[in-house]
Parts: sequence; C-alpha cells; structure tokens
Amino acid sequence: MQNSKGSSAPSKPSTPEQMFDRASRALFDALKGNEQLVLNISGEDTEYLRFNKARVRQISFVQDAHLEINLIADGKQISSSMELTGSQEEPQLLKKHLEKMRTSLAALPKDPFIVEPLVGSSSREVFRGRLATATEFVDQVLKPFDYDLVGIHQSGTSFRGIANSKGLKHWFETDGFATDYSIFHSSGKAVKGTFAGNEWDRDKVKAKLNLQSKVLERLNTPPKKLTPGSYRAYFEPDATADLIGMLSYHGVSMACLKQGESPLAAIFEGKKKLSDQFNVTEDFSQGLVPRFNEFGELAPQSLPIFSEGHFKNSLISPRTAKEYGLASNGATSEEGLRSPAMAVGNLASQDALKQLGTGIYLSNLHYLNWSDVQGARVTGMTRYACMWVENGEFVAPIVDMRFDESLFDVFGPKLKACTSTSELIPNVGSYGGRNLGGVVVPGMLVDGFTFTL
Amino acid sequence: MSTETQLNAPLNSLLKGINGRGAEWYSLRRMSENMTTQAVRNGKPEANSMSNSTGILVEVFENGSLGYASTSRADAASLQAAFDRAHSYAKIGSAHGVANFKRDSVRPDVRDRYVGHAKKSFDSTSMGEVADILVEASLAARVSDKIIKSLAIASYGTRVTELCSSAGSDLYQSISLCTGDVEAIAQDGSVLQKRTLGGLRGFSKQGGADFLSREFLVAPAARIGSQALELLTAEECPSGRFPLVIAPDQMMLQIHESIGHPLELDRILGDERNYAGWSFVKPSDFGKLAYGSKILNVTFDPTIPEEFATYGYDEIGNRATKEYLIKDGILLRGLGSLESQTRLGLPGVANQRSSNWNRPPIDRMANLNIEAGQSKLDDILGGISDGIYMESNRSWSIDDYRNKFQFGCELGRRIKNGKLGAVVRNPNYRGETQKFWHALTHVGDASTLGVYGTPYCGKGEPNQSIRVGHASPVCAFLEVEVFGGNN
Repeated sequence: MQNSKGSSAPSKPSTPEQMFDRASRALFDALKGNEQLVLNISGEDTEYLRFNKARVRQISFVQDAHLEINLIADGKQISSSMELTGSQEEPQLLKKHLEKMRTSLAALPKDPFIVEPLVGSSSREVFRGRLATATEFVDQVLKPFDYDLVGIHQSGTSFRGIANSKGLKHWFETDGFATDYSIFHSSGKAVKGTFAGNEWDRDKVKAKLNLQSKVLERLNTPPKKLTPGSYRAYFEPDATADLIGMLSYHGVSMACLKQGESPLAAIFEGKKKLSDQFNVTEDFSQGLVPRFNEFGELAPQSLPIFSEGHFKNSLISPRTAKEYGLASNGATSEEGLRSPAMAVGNLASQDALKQLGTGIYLSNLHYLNWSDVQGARVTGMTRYACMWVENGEFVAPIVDMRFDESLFDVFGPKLKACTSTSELIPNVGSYGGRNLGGVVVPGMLVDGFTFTL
Repeated sequence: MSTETQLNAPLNSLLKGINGRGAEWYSLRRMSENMTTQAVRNGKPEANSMSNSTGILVEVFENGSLGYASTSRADAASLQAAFDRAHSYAKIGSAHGVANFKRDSVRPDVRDRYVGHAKKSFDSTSMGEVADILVEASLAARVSDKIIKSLAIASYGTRVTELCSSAGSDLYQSISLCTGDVEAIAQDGSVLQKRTLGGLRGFSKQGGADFLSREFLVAPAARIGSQALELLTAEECPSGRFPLVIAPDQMMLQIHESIGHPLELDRILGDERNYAGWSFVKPSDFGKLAYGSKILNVTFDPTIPEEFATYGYDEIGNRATKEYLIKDGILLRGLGSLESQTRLGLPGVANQRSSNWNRPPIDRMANLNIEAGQSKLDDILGGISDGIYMESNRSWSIDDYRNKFQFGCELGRRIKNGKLGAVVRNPNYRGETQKFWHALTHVGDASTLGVYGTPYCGKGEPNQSIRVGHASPVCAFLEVEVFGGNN
C-alpha cells in the first residue's frame, strides 16, 4: 500500500498524535481547488473504576480517538466525525470519505458565517504524570477504608488537537487522574470530595479521606427540617462552583446574548450590576486545559468576564464574531467558560462559621437549572453535608431543601463576603469523553438565600 | 468510514481471533452509530454534520465478576490488549467486588436478529433535501419581526449493535432514529419567550426519512412562531395552588424524573449515590407501596414501533418485553437489569443499556409510559372551574432522592369554568413525588395520548447520555403549587 505521496506505507502509528498527523497528511494532500480543511481530534486512554460500598462495581477502559473533519469550499461547509482506527488502510479510507463529503457539500446552501482556516503559529504541550493503576487504587483506597465509599476513579491520558490545511497545528496531551467520591453515613447523609492531579500520592489521599470521615460524625445527628424562607448561608467552594457553572449554561455566550437566550442579558446591557466583590476571569494560567479552540485560535491567557460586578467580556467564538461583526476572543463554539476563576475576598476561611452566625452551611448543591431565564433565577437542591449553624457552631444536618434564587441577587446585593482563599474544583464529567480542567472558586457568605420547598 | 476497516469484519471472526486465556466467558459488543445532524437558523445553515462512531466493548467474566475494555482500534493486537485488560479487571472485581454473579444469570445466551421500524430509509433522502426543508421550516417560524431566532433542526441516522460471546451468542440489532425540532424566540423590549416542538427535543422517534418531511417539520413551524409571539403579551402564570392539567410532552419529563429515575434498581442499590443520586424507594416497597392514585398505570414498554427507545433485546441480550411497573397505583417492579435483579432478588426488566460502545451497560430507562385511562379531554377540563394547563418542558430540577421537584414549561393556559382560556407565560410548578402522584385525578383516554422521547437522559459514572421514550395521555392533578416568573 502507498500513501498519497507515493512513498511506502508508514508503520502502524503508536500514538494518537502520530495517527492524527497521518490522517492530516492524507486529507490535506487530497484537497482540490479552493477546498480547505480544519481537523480536530479528541480522545483518551482512560481507566474508569467505579465503586460502591468501597468495593468494585465496574472497571472499564476506554481507548478512542475522535476525529472531526470540517470541509470548506465555495462558501459552504460540512463536517464529519469518526473514530481513528490506526489501520494501514486509513489514509485511503479518509480520502474516500472526503469524496463523500464533497458530494454532500455540493447540495448544501451557502453559509455566510464560515470561519476560514487560520494562518498562525502552532503549539504543542504534553504533560506526563504518575498515575495509580486499578489494582493500586483498590489496594490503597478501597480495601483499607472502613467507610461506605462510593464514586469513580478515572485515570489516564487525554488529548486534544487541531490542524488545518493552512499549516497550523496545536496539540495538547495530559496524563491525569480524578477521583470523585462520597462517604456515606448510615443515616443516609454523606460527605463529598474529589482529588485530582497528575501525580498520585497515596498519603495525601489517605489523609484527606481520614479527615473527611471525621466530618461524617457531624452528620450523626437527627436532621433539622427547615421551613421555606430566606436564610443567611455560607457556600463552600464546591457549592460556589455549582453556581458559577451556570454562567456557562448560556450565561456568558455572546451568541446567546444576541439570540435572546442569556439569563445575564440585563447585566450585559448595563441595566443591572452585580456586587463589587464579584470578579470572574477566564484564566488559563494553570494549564489544565488547552487554550486553543476548534478553529485554532489561542484564547488570551487571562480574560476578565466580570469585574467588580460589571460584565466586562462575553465569550465570543470566531463564528459569532463573523456573524455580528465583532472580534473573537478565542472562545469555543459553545462559548462556555473553560477555565474560570472567581476572585477571592477578605473573609478568612476559618472565620466563615463565625461570620455565618446563624444560618445554613452549604457544602454542595445539586441539579441546578434556570427557572426563569429573564430573571436569572436558578433552582436546585441542597445535597450532602449541608448543616444548620447557630452562633457559629454546627448544630445538625438539614433535611434537603429546594432553593430558587436569582443570580442577580446572590452575586449581587446578597453577596456579603468571599473567602480569602480559593480551591480548584476539578471538572470530573465524562459525557462523550473525559473532561479537563476545573473551576477555581472561594467560599461565599450570602444573606437572604431563598428556599422554597 | 471506520466501519470499512477491520472494525467491519464479522464479529464472530474477531472473537475467534482472541486468545481467551482460559477465561470463563467473554463477549464482543460492537456498536456503530451513523448520525447526521443539520440545523438552520433564521434561514441560514448553522450545522451540517455527519458522524460515525464505531468501536468494540470487550466483556470478560471471571469468577463471579465482569471486566470491560473498549477500543476503536480494531487491529488484532489492540483487541487482544482490550481483552487482557478486561480480564484483569474481572479478576480485581472478583476479589473485591460488590457482587458475585453466576454467568448465565447475568449474561443470557441469545441468537437473533432485530430490525426496528423505519418506513423509509434515510438513503432515500440527501443532506441537500433536508437542508431545504429546514430552511423552509426556519423561515415559516418567523411569523413576525419580533421572532429574533428561528431554528429548525434534524438529527437522524441508524445504530447497529452486534453481540457475540464465547458461549455462542450472536445478536444483531438495528434501529433508525430521528429527532426534529423547530424553535422560535420572540422578543419585545426586555420580554423574551421561546417555543419549541415539545421541549427537550421531544419530537424524537424511531423511524426513517418519513419524519424528515414538511409534514413534520414545516407544518408546525408557523404555530411555534405564533405561540412564541402570543406569549410575549400573555399574563404571567398566577401563583397559588391550582388543579393542574399536564400535556403529554410535559408528562414525558414528569414520568422521567419522578417515576423513572427513582425506580432504577442500581440507584436503589446505591451505585449512583455519588452522581445521579439515590432513591426514596426501598427494596421492601416493591409489591406494597402505593406510589400514586389508583388510576396510575406505568409500563416499561419496548414494543411500540415509533417510540424512541424500542428494541428487541437490551445490550446484554436480555429479551425486552412489556412489563407493568406500577399497576392501579401499586409499585410492582423496578427498572433493573439481570445484574440488579440478582443483587436485590427483585423482578426487573431488560434495560441494561449503554450510551455508546465505550461505556459498560447499566440500568437505564427505555420506553417508560403511562397507560391511557378513561377520561376524555373535555371531561378532564369540564370538572375544573379554575385551573392551569401546561405543556412543553423548559426547566427541570429534582433532588437526589427524587422527592422535591420543580419544573417549568414553555406555555400555560388558564382553565376557567371547564374550558381552556387565556395563554399564560412562564408557568412553573413544584411538588413532592408521592404526594403529587397521589393527587392524580384523571388520566386521559387514548385520544389524548402523545408519544415523545428525548436524547438527553444523563446518568452513570463514567457519564452516559442515552435516548429514552415516554408516552402519556393528558393527566390532571389536584391542588398543585403553581407560579410564574419574576417579571
């Protein structure tokens, strides 16, 4: 078999990047006329170990390499995606597939908002780590742990890449693990935790689990049933992260702002302002996620989104930019935050309970959704170790409550203080593939948080 | 594309190529999903994309436990490596697992072929033809300059699942899938309202290119646009406790969240406690618990040809049959696969499913329906002097035990003196699961039945988003807490 340049067939690629490069060469060599291509790849080699009651429920392994081909010609575009198999025949099959795309493209209408492939510098980042095998995780975490531990340990290599027919290429590859777990008390209440990174440290993990199992004792009290109403509340960073996550659910997207779907439009338009203490930045300095988007643009290292309560920048993808005559700021098509960081404040974390006084200590929230888009109102539930606090002392866990509150208020006049330290809450999601990165957030003290059920 | 490589070789021959290293049992499950998604916004193309996802999941059973490994590389070495990994995982699970299974009680032997309903093959249409229909639908929804966004979308294709095992199983299943939607957003000053074709991509069905037609996508578009426009000037939904009549497209969400998820046996077993959550339902509740009023009848029914999650077998080869989960209000059976049935000693259904080839199958909903009752729509409305009607979900949230829920809809209407009245906007309601289902006063007859589905049921670690179907008649409930928006 020969490749398109007539040389002898390459040996079977052993890495995803080599597979991507070989696919890129085959496709770029097959272009005709004014055709252009943008290729994106994402994939992983990941071990997923699912556990319940500190015993193995399912262990699985994923090896995939998902290639997306975007063909542009004659003012039209079409995309197609598939798994790369690494087979010897793959270059020829890709070329055949390109032919099919050409045929389909011809019958499509013109697209006025096509983003032409960029010319620019390329980049390559590879982060290696030391990870625990499934056997090590079972031996070091599950077997010695006496508590009811449930969750998932995911560990392996993730990669993202883009290349276009103008010669630009970005590659990001990282080893990493993320363990997302809950420790359950016999009462049914639980403490939630995560540890993540690219250097497995059994001692750190053991120490954290032991510390959290002590927190469980707080939950060994009959839960307090609260009546709906407004309460002073302290949000642990995990709970803050849930609210910050809503910004990416249509909130800061320029396309959503323009198309009537952003709940934060009133702030964007200057009709409302959030608290001076509310500062959010898209911050890639930790290097946990690639800065490049699927068009090959590099996002700024740091982009202020909210500064002192004002909406400074929405996220603008190059397609949105083209449609509305704006400048792109390197956002992806989804225009969601990839590496958000909320600024810290002045509240010492150790004083949080004292400053809360009497109210609700919120460890985690659950199942958030917009309940009124124009009012930026969010509903959701309390979950895990949420506690009733009196005079700065934990009293009892609470019976879970439903809240319904506007972000205009919770990040606005009701936001009383942010802690002086922040935490990285890793993104442990894996729909469609393992997520990268996380959100850096402080704890928050909020007055008059509204519970409804 | 990738299906033309080794990944397309007969699955049995790939199985034979594996060195089983003396494992008790093993299988290969290959999934190949070919989908096309096209979208048009304001008459201009938004997306024209094809996708193929093909890969193989290797399952190995050893000494009471299963291990899993998946790969999209179908060369012999990669497949063997996947086998070896799965084998090693089965051994780890065997030594420290949550359960100890007998192989034939959790992985039945099956040889069969199932092809789902599709009147017209997708091969009979082109992307260009679909794009034309979507342009038409998008433009038809723009009934006024106040419609600032009109989106028409279609996602369609096929999914083929094959299963071969070392014990001789040989199963082939093919289904055709289609989701269509038309969205319109209307704006007048600071007021914005959105209307769609059923919420949550509710127009999701099994079937072929017959659904990619003007009848299904263009014909309703003007109504969608007009309703969005009408909502701009509608009164806010009132707040208070009202009789609530729910249309089938919102019943889809109500069934899903407050019946489907709490009845999943793996949730009851605690597998999902770290992510999706637990359940208020206890194992001892089956056969006893009055889940709702006596007119509540809920079935797991994978036999309705056009419903979104119809199939012949689940992904481990368990034959799918219609079963009552709730009959005359009493909880009888859970949504549990053979594995969960074994772990709990309770009856279940054939529902071990996965989102794709790279995820192990777990307990999922499929088609979960409310059986038609006796009430005609006029009779349901006729008994209500002052109530609210709601349709098409736009917001959903429920706690991790599946008790306290809050749902919002796109469109509401007052019910006055037994008749549907004025449209109201931003309708929401909240309640607690068992109290709510006990407040069920009327179940519509077959003339009120709607068959819906959605591609967005999320669950599992690693996460899996899966397709489900929900059919329901119009239902009425007593004294539900209803409220409107902030504006």
